[in-house]
Amino acid sequence: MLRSLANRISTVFFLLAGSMMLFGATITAKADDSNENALMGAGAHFAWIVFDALKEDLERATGRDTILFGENSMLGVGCNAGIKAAKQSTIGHETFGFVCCPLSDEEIEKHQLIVYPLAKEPVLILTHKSNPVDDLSVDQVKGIFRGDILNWKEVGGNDEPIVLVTRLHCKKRPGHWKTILPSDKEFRQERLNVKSASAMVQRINDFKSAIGHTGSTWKFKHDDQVKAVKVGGVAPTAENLKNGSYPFYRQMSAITSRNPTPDVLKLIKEAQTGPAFRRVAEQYQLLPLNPMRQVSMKK
Amino acid sequence: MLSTYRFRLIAYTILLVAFLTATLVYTYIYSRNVILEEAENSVTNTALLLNGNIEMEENELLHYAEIVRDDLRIKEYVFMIVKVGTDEEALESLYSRHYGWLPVKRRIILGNNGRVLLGSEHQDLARALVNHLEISSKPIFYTQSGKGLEMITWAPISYQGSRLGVVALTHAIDNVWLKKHQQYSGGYLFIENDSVILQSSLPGAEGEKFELNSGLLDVNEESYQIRPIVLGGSNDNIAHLWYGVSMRDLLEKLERHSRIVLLLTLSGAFAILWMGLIIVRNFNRPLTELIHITRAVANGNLPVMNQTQEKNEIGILSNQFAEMLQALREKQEEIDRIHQELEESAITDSLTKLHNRRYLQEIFPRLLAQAQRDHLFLSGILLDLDHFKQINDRHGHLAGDQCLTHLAHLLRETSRANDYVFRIGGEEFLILSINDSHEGSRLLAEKIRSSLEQSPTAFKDTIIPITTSIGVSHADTSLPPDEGLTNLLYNADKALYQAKTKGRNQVRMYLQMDDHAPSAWDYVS
Repeated sequence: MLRSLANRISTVFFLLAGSMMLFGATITAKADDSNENALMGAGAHFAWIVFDALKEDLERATGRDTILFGENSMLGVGCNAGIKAAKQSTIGHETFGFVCCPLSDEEIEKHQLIVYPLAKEPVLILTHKSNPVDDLSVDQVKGIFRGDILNWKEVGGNDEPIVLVTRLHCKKRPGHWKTILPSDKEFRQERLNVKSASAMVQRINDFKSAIGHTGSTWKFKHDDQVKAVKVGGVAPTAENLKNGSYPFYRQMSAITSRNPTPDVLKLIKEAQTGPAFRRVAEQYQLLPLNPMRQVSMKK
Repeated sequence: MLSTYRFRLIAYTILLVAFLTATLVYTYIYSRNVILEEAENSVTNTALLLNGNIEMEENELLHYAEIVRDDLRIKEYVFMIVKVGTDEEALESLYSRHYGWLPVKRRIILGNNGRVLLGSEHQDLARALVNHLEISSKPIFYTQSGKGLEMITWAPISYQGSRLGVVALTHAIDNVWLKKHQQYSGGYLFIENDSVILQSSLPGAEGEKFELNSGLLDVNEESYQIRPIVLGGSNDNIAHLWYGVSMRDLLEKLERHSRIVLLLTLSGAFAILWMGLIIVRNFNRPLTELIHITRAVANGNLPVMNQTQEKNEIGILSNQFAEMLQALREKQEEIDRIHQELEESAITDSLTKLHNRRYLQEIFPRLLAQAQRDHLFLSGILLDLDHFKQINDRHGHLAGDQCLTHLAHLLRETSRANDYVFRIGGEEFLILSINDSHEGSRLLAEKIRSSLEQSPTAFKDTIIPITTSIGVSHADTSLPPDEGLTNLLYNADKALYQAKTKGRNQVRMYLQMDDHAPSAWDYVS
């Protein structure tokens, strides 16, 4: 009788286990199916904002789902993650990357990448809204970041010590903050060095005498007490980037491996030349680096 | 008396009650001291517990200070203030944003030069902190704050290898704190300074004098067992924290305990007494009964003893004794019966079941005395079957026995209840009858003779006619019994002889001269 009972329990157990395995396999298959059909991108937060804004247009252009990673690059997702995503692309698992800074030639060669420039992005010089200084010359900006100028009164402001906030990321890549000072060694030592753009904005919110920098593709909150000053009387706009009057900027790009799939190429092409990107660029004062493709008026 | 179990049981019960009472009285007296001692220990232990709680609070507060100290942003902001010279507003904003939730009373961050970087409204705290840092490196200390105390913990803030300042957090030891800790301590907390109670969880104690008398604090006409709560890092210049328990509460507890002990004592004594009485009753009653019964048995009686339902040893013994008594009684009855049978057989004729000659000799003196006492006649009616030898010869001895049995039956039927019928020889029978005249015995004799004549004996298929000759006489009451019986039988036999010689089947009386007859002997047919 006991043996019969044990057999029955074993049967029920194996049936349950089998059902669960089948169920789990179905879910995994569904997840895999959805991932297999998607084009996945990862990279820097600033570029992510652009791609995220374009997501629907990109999916329409490729006919495939697009999955993006990069919001709030604090969690190990940044330019390096973009490079990694570009390298990992395989058939059936098509990925691409996006970076907020221009890559060095050595880096491109080392990782066997193709870079697809998207836009130039102004690097904003941020101060607290209460700071009366609205305009700084290039030299004044450099002097402040270098530590030559320590008080706002030296540039026409209040008699307040300058609190310098920096985010010296992507140190081995050209461009970006290096347009202010070419080396992190040149920056003033008594500074707040933050790890993220949000921390940068928060510090400037906290210190009324702070100055910092960040890309223009940042979604400021309505209660942020932060403003971008003009540099040499020039506002950080796409137009001023285009005419070369605004000096601080960086280049935003998409990157792929050396053998990108047609759909990835199609996606990047749409990002580079599609009309949607133009709207996003206008919103964030980005200067597109590729001409917009001709759009048929027929709909 | 003294050796009886009843006495012993009563004595044991009384001893047990006395022992219990003495034990409980001793327990009560001893426990009173123990309670007082334990109460004092309890106050001390609770004070230690409070000390432990305070230590935990201190460590918790210190931990909070270290959390703030270790925050890189705090360090950077302090650095900006100290090294760059910016204002403190950003630090305030940062602290409020990230540490505003900390459960502390006050917080302060001091720069190395004593400048208040955070919490500028707490200048008194800043001074206390500076003073403390000048003399001590202990991370926990206390200051007096108004009527209460303030627990302060601090941690140094260092950045890029240099010390920038300290962060300090505080907890208030005030009325709220006192009442919160009173809830689980069961006593009262006092903050005292200069022998005055500044604050207390005891209502109405504030402002009262704090003076210890033999280790007791008298407040509001009540005494309190009091113990100090040691505050680490505090000095004698600030107020002290004390813990106390009301002596009235302790004594109430003691009284409550004494009532319980008294109740236990009375209950225990009553229970033992009651049990003792039950034991005495249950043990003594069957023993007493057994003693009475054995005494009765010793006196030759065998009383009836009821069976008991008790299953204990005494019950079993009683039941076995009752069974033994019953068996003895049955044996006695059997012996009596056998004895009676032997007695009867000794005085009874085995064939006719009539009395025999032996019984005649036994009963005659009594009947003679009765007749003498009542002035009556004791008559002797002597019968002899006629031609009995011929009957035996003709019909056999069995037939002769049948004739004798038949006659005996007829004599029993015919005689009166108080008459005595004897078979005194082979075919001779005698009836002793007490009458008030001779005529009564003569009539009885005639009636017997007539009845026998009219009722022959049936033996098997044979009818055997039988008759009897009867001689009647009466006893001379003036003679002694032995002589009187001999005289009676002699005279009756004379009369019988007359009846035999005159033709049988008739009655003859032998009367004395002074009775009726004119001659000395008169034979009446």
